[in-house]
Amino acid sequence: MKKIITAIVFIISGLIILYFFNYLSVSHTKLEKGEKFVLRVWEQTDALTSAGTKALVAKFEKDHPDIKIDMVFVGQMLNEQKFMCAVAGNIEPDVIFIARDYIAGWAARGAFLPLDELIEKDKEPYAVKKEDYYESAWKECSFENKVYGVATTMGAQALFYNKDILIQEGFVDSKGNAKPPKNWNELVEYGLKLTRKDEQGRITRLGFLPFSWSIKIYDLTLYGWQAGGDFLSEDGKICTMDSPEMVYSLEWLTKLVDAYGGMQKVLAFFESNASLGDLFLQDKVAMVNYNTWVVRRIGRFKPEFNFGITAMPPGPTGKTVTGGGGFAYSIPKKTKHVNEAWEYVKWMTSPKAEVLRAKVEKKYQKSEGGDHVLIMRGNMKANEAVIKEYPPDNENVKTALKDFLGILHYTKSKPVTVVSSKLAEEQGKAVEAAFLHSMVPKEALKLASFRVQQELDKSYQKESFPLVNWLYPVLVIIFALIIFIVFNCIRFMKAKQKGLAKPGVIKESMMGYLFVSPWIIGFVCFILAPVLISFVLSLCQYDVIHPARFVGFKNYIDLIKHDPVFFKSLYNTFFMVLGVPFNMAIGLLVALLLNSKVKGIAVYRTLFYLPAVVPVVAASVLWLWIFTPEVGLLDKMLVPILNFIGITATPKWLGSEVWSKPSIIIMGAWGAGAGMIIWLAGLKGIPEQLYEAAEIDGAGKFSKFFHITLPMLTPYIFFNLVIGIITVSQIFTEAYIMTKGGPADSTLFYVFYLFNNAFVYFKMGYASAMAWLLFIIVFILTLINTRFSKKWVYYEAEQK
Amino acid sequence: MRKIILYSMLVLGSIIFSLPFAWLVLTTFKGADELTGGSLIPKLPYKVISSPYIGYMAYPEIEKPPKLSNERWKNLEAGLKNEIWNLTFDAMGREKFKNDYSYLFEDEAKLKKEIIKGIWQELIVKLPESTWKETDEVISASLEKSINAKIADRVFKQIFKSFTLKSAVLEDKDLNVIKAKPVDGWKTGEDSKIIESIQGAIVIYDFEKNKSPKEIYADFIMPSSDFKALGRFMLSFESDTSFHELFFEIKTSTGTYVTKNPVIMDAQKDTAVSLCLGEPGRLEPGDTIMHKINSSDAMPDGLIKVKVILEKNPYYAAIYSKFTKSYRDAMKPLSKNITIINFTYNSVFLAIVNIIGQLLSCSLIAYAFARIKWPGRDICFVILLSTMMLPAQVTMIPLFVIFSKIGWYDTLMPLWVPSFFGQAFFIFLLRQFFMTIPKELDDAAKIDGCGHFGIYWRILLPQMKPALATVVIFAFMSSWNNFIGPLIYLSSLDLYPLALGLSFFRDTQGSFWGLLMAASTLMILPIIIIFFFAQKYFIQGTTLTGMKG
Repeated sequence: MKKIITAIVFIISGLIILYFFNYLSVSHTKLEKGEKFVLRVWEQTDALTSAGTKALVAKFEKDHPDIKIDMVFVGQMLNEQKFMCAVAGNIEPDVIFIARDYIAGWAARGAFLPLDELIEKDKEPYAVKKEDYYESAWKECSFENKVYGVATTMGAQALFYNKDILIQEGFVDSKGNAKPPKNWNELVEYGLKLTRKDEQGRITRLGFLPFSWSIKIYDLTLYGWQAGGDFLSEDGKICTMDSPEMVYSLEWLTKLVDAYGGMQKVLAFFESNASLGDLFLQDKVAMVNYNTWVVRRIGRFKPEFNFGITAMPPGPTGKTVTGGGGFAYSIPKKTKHVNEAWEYVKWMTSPKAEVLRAKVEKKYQKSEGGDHVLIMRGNMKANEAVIKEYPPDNENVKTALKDFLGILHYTKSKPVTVVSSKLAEEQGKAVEAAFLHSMVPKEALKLASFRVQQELDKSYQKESFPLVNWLYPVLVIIFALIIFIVFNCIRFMKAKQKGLAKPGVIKESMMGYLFVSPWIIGFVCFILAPVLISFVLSLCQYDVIHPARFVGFKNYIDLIKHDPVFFKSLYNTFFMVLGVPFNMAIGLLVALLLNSKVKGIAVYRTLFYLPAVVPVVAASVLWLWIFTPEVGLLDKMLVPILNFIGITATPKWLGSEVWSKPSIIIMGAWGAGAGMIIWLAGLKGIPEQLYEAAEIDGAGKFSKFFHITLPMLTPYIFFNLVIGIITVSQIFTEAYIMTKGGPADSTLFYVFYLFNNAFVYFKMGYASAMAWLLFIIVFILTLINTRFSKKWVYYEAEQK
Repeated sequence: MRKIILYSMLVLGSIIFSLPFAWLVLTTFKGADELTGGSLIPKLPYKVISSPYIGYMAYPEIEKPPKLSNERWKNLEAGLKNEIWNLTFDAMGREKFKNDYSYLFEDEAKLKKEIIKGIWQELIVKLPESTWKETDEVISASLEKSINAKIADRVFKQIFKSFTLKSAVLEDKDLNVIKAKPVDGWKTGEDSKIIESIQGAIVIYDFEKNKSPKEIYADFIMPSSDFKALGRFMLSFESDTSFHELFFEIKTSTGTYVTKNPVIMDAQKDTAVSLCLGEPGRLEPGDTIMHKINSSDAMPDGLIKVKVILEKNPYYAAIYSKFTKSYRDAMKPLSKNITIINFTYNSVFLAIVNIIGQLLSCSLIAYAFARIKWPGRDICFVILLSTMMLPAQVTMIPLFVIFSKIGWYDTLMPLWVPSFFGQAFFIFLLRQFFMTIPKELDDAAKIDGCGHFGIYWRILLPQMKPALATVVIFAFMSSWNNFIGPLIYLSSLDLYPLALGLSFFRDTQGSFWGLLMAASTLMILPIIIIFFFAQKYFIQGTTLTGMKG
């Protein structure tokens, strides 16, 4: 009977595996009759725009019956990571929808096809022409005089103002209409006059917000340009962030923030109104520097809102200028269907397609209620056509959109550079430092400029490092294997000479090697070789696409000397290590409860243990919901209790910089059941006589616990501690699911940062160096633990 | 006394530890409107026999404001309620309102009660707490000030439940769309009625006397020549939360199309169905497929007839429909035809293959370490133990590079092939177990002419069942829970296992907690079931290893 069951299980499993091989070998998209190509396209949209995109794709397939589109929607976050992996795995798409900021980086890596030839070659029907596009949109797609993408969406920064508030405060023209400020001086004047404070000096309304809705996104770009400065020199090789113009713009902004009462006051204003959502729409902010898509949002959710938009008032130079941005279509270099991909790009960016998109989107938007506002495009003709055929219904929104088209002409392209993300990060930090007065603007910008320059130099120096010769690591592996074999042979021979070996020993050894061969193969392929490669990579610059270049210990030095984020992630992880004893204490407490002789212990044990078997991913999603402020389980349980004590505010849990890590520790405590089981085993092992003897000596409950139970449990404490530290040092999934490393990097754990470096920033060498440092840190911790353990861990066996 | 404290602590502890589970499951039973509300327990749906009706669950009962004395409240309550009703009734336009919704006034007391409840909720949010301590005159003045048509309308919309047919949109095969109005309005059979209102056509039906399905139908004219054959018919309507079932039938000049699966009128008030005629290739997520049936009568060119068939769902079925809504949502296709079923399938496949791989390879290798003498064995064993110290992150990057270079990126291979080459920890575990089995057994078998393979397969493995069970469980857990592996190696949605699929749900379905919790439940459930059957081995494994999988 049993044999039959085993046989059946094996047969079924075999069939499943076979089926899967079959399933895996076929292409994911099946061609239908008459179709010749599958064009793999990566689009990146939300629910609303995807309706439009789908309609456009359907139309394209209809016009090109031989092409089948395999469309994948890739999330904003994952996009770059997935693309890099796809490039590495040789399965990149034929067309990709990508933010224009990233084009330069990918073009520099040689991943994209230059489109110049294609653009020149074709004439009609929807030829891509440079003159149709806003200058900045076109420029942002170019890198080193070649075009790598065709712009689609386009946004720009503009001054949004609340007409009601302006009129109410008397900022009107002769006709009584609201009159927006004309220059920086007026902007400050308006900003201060429109700001309201209560008796305690708290801001209740902000006159002018210089950055997008959360003040924590600091972007100096626009103001720097207005003051006549720029981030990079013309050739893009020198960072000019500390030029007098840039310094002037930051000084001006700092003065404005100081006039509001300082950075802390402004932050407190945001904190106390965080639950309201968009403060501009709630009349809490009178004027704000916003991007185009906000018109779309206003149209969707508050079309009757009385607002106006205008170009940002010019600074000391008197020139109107604004920052833009958006997405583009690019074609990866390795595609086999260049012409088809190009057809697709042309269609998707053509005015005709945009009109169709407007039609479909409008239909969907209307079914949801609200007004429909299309995202503006880099193609001027497309914008004209769309506005003509499908304008917004609401007059306010319509005027705003028309004003916007005017503003788009003033957009200046962001610096096209491979260090764009570093640039954004550093200038943000400089602005923050200046606002908080931890540095004067000049110093802050100087430092930022210095750091960007470092990165810039690095990117231009790349070629100077020598290529890695992979022959050496391979030789090392072969050499190690040979030594191993020779060593064993010698030992074997010696044994034979001495006559120690019994007959049949060769056969026995052969059997042994045969049995253990899977492990040896696995060890060489999945551990030894990767470890060696990892070590070599940690000494290299490597981005998967280009061959690795040897840089020596530079990665390690950079990590320790120049990477504050590295230390932040290290700190975050150490913080979590502090949670290990807390977790252990809870486990011990439960174990002590369960160790008493009461009925139904098995049931309680099951209940306490069950959370420990829940997959981390599922637990994270569950706790994300539990931690949701106000409506989540935790707040529902806690608020009545806290109110009773007199505390009214609960922390924002995962949304707060202070509480995000403790929240994850609390979640971990829910899974303390695993530790509990080990404690329980330990408690069961304490001989009863010890307690009896102590009782005779008159020991109380507490002294029994501290003098018998705890000392007897020390080996288990040690074990739990070591395992706990090792597990926590590799924490990743919780942060990835729940917080994505935020808020403000407060849950950016070591492995998360490592993952980001490897699979988001493609610094494989850098990430390998991090992995080795992690190994060393964990190793040292365990060593210290073991050393110290001799002082406090009591091993019964040793004493006897 | 000690016992009581002990028990209460145990019970309290188990409640705290199991609350998240309860929260998980209860959330899946809730509708979107219940998520923000106060109650932990999901509500039962309305028992609807006739519609439209007044919903009594939209607002909580009226309670005394916290800082008011009982006496004052007693004096205040009745008058307050009356005043609220009068003011609201005024705001709604008295006679006109009574005429428009005359059918609601058959049970006036109920209507009154629910409206007062709703307005009260609006008031306590809007008015400061101190208001209620003022004199009657001041209170009525502030009531008068705050009750207006806007608030009254908002409250009425919350409590008024009706099946209202709203706009219809026709779409042709080239995706041209037009808003369409029925030619003569919506019509019904004998036993139900239609009342036209600003919102749309309100269907008045009653299942009390006649339980047979109600039919509502209308004719639509297809627009002029540039509109090709009908491809999709979209109808938006207001659901009456009755959990009754809707079927659709569309007659065009080319044939008759019907839906096979019902659309359930659930708690989502503004709903739209998108009926896709033929051509499954054009199906979009959210579409309901219509099947062509044989029918003798066809409509003349340019005219279509749409029939909505309303079928009564018995109350238990309504409860079932309400409680399983999140699960049905979680099963909906994410893109193309990929659903959570595909994710489950991938997870099960990986789990089975990983278990088989680990069992075969680890036991074989462990046997070699425990029972066979071969040169270098001890060194190899030390190496094996030391590999357990190595963090996975060290090998993660090179393995990714290797696997992608040999074309395994975006396949499941990197997630199961390594399991056939053993895992240090399992090998160690099994070796320790092999060591505990007396060697005499082998010797006896050897004398009988058994080789190493025979001893391994026939003699030792059958004795190792508890250890093997531990390996099975841990291999299952680590494969089922593996997240970073799929995250790195997979790109196509159809290959995602549940762990990655759930993360995908979290990224794309943001705040649909019911759906997210349903998906989580589907992922947790198999593990819980296995846990209950094999608790012994879980505990054994944990004791041995300190891992939780």
